[in-house]
Amino acid sequence: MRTKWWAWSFMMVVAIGVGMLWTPAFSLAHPLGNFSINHYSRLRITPEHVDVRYRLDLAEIPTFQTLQKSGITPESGHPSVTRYLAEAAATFKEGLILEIDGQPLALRVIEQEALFPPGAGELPTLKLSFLYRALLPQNGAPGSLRRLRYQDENFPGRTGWKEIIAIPESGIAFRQSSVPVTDRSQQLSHYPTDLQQSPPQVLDAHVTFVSAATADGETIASLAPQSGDITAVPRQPNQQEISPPSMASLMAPDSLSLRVIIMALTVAMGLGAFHALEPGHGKTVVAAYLVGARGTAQHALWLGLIVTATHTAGVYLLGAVTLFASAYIVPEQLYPWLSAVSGLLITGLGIYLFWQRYAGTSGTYTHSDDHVYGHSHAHTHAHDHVFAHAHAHPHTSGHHHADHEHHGHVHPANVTFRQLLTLGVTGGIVPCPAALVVLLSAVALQRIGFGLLLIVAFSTGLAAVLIAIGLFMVYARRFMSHFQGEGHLITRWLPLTSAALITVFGVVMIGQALVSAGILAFHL
Amino acid sequence: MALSLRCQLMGSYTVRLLGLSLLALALTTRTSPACAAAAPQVRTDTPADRALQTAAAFIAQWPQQHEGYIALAKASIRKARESGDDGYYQRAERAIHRILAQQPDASEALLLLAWIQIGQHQFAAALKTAERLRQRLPNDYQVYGLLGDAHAELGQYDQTASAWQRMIDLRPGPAAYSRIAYLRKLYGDMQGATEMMAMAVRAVSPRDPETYAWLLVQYGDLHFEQGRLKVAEAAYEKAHHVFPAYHRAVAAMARIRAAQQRYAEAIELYQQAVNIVPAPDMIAALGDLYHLTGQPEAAEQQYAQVAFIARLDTLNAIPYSRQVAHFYADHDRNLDAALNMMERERENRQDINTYDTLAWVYYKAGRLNDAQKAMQQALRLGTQDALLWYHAGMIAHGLGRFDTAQAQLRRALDINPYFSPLPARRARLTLAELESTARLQSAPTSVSHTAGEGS
Repeated sequence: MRTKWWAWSFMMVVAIGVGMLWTPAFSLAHPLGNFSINHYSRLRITPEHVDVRYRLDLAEIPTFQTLQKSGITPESGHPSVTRYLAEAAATFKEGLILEIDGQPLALRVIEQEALFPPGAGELPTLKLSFLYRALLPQNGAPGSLRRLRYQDENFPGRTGWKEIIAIPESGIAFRQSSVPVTDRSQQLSHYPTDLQQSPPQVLDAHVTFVSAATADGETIASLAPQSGDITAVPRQPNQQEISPPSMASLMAPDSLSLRVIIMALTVAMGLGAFHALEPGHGKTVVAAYLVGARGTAQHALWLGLIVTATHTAGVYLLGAVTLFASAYIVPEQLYPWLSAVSGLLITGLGIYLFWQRYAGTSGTYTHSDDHVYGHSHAHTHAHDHVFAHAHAHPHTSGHHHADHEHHGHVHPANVTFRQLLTLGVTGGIVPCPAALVVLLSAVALQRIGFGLLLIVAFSTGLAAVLIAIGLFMVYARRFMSHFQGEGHLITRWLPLTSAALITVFGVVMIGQALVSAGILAFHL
Repeated sequence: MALSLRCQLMGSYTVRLLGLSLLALALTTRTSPACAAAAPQVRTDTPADRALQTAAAFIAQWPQQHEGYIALAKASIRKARESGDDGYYQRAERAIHRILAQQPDASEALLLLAWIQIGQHQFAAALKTAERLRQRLPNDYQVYGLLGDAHAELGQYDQTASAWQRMIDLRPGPAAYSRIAYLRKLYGDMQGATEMMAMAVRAVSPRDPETYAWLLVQYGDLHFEQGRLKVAEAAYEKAHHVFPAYHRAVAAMARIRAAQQRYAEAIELYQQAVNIVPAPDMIAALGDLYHLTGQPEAAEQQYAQVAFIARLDTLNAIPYSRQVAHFYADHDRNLDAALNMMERERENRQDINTYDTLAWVYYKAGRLNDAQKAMQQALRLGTQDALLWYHAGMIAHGLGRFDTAQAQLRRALDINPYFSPLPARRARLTLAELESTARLQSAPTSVSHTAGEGS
């Protein structure tokens, strides 16, 4: 029961930390005022057709005007909305010009959708999404250069975020394009708020491209939606305003291929693993604790997970704080101070652990097997020494297992979830510049969703390695314990040493932070 | 310890680099090979838009340099003025605060801050900023321009005059001319104001089309206010030509068409203007035209929109109370709310137009003595504005001071017989009624009046 309570409260802290990124305090629903109308067009060119994903995001006033004029009930799927959408799809189609080689193409409505996310004071706003399709005329030799022109003439002069992107599908190669292939607003679902991103005012696009795959008239256009993403319409209201969105919705699925995403995630996981092996990270604490206390495989697993979750949440939180504070101060100046604060926190935790262990040595650690660590430490200063011993004596494992369980029952308080939590948080809270940089870069490059996902992958890699190290420690100690005596001195000293190390690490972090903030100067 | 620290730093740099290259990989994989400029393009963006993009690119490249944020704030203010979108003022403000956080006394940033504060109707704050700037830049003409702007909105017209005089002494130019023209207009010198505004129009650089168009609209308005529709129309035409889709020019043209009783055209033009910027005064004017042409339902739709915007503005704390309160008073609705708004507005702004609207709201709420006091404030400079004299005449009529009412209403119609379709009609009717009563009164058997009757 106790364990559950702690686990839940811990999860809550993580959830709140992640949720903080999405509170309205950070940004407005719309990048501009409450009469703006935001436009988004995504042209997807295949050898057979051109798909136009057309979105409009109407702020409160134009939404009110639309509701007034059309008399619809602002609920998705309401029959009046369905009627209105059919009309709107036809009306807005008239304002869209699509030409290939100077020849106008007829657009066909494939799908239409309306959402009414709440805006200021819970007043409705309106998000419209249409998919239009035009057949690409199959004249001209394969490989010949074709010119596409697209123009959006709806709501001329009205202020708003106006964005167009064009994407070549397989079989199409762009020669020139006046618009990018990736968007900045995640299809008007997530407007960037930093000052480097002034609202785009693009209402036309010019693309020259070649069709590489038109072979012998085989590719006759099929009108059925072919790939999954054509029908994928993000159903979320603007994320700045609404409860935490799902990871999938945060991503911009049309601009990153699955292959690239999988590759990126794999690399991120590898980076996380590598990161866990870096000196001075949470693993020191994990290892020190598991060897210093009477840990089981389950404890190792929990500890690894807590470190990882804390680490992820820490990165998210720090990212949020940095983003928020960067409106007032330069991040480069902010970072040392955040490090100093974490350093203070870690120092405090280290001192607390030291004190706790110092006070509780006689009771808690009398029968523990710390000398394995101590022994190897004393002789070689290398952790690998422990593993070498483990391999040398594999046959004792079964015996020790029983022995350990016995200890577990006799001293159930040896490893409490509270201790695991304290340690895990201590180990994971260290702000990790690498992960933070990945996150902030993702934010700066308008790929927040992808950045968050990368951090998760990064942390998964981290967790895997930490858990593996923890398990190694646990089993290695079991292999060893029966052959080594239980030295009280070492038993007493090791946990204290590990607590002292944590404290020293925190102090070093503070020093490092102060040096980079320019307050302390060392000449090494 | 030093070694492990070094290791950690190196390690994190390695990871940092790897992380960045990973991101770069993910972001660039799908970028098309060539993104050079393509076929001839139709320009849909304005010079302000282009300035915004340049500033943003500069900031992206040199995020520590103040120049980028200054350029961004300037471009945002320009964009806010031309688009009527307050969101751009907020962007400008963020850019300025970014500089001020590091350098609280940066003069250029403070100058732009004062500008933004005026744009956002924070007049007292703007005055403070401008005063602070005067200490630092005692010979900068822009400082005196802003100083005068803030004083004018706070109803301190003597200080306004001296600040703008200093401005024009330091640097004569369209910015100073248009301000002097405004001041002359306030003091009732319509002739001098028109001449000065013409100078401003001639002096402005055509490379700044929005300012050019704005000055042309101001110039046209001065002629309209004197009932010279033809000259005004030509000025608006020109404004529309130099800066297409300029909502102020379109709405001004709509007002001319309404004055000419070409209501169908006026309605269409107002619709155009409102489609660009749904400003409450324009929507209300459109509603009035629907009302005039016997389309009460369409009129009510417009009126509902004004009420909606008022509600939204209250939610967002956007201080445009005057337009909304004026609308409420004109249409005898939500008078309590209007009174509330205007009494708060008076705390913020003490110029003659605020007193005029306040007086009009008092009058409609039946507080005639308060209305008269406020109206005296509104008329204290002797401004030749038909609407002001119409309001004054109606208040005098309400108070039973019929001679004054008659004189004031006639004055309103003499200044500009077309000033506003519905009020002008009401002015004529009231005047006709007063004149016929006066004739009766001058007859041997006089008819006694009851005070407060009519309105």
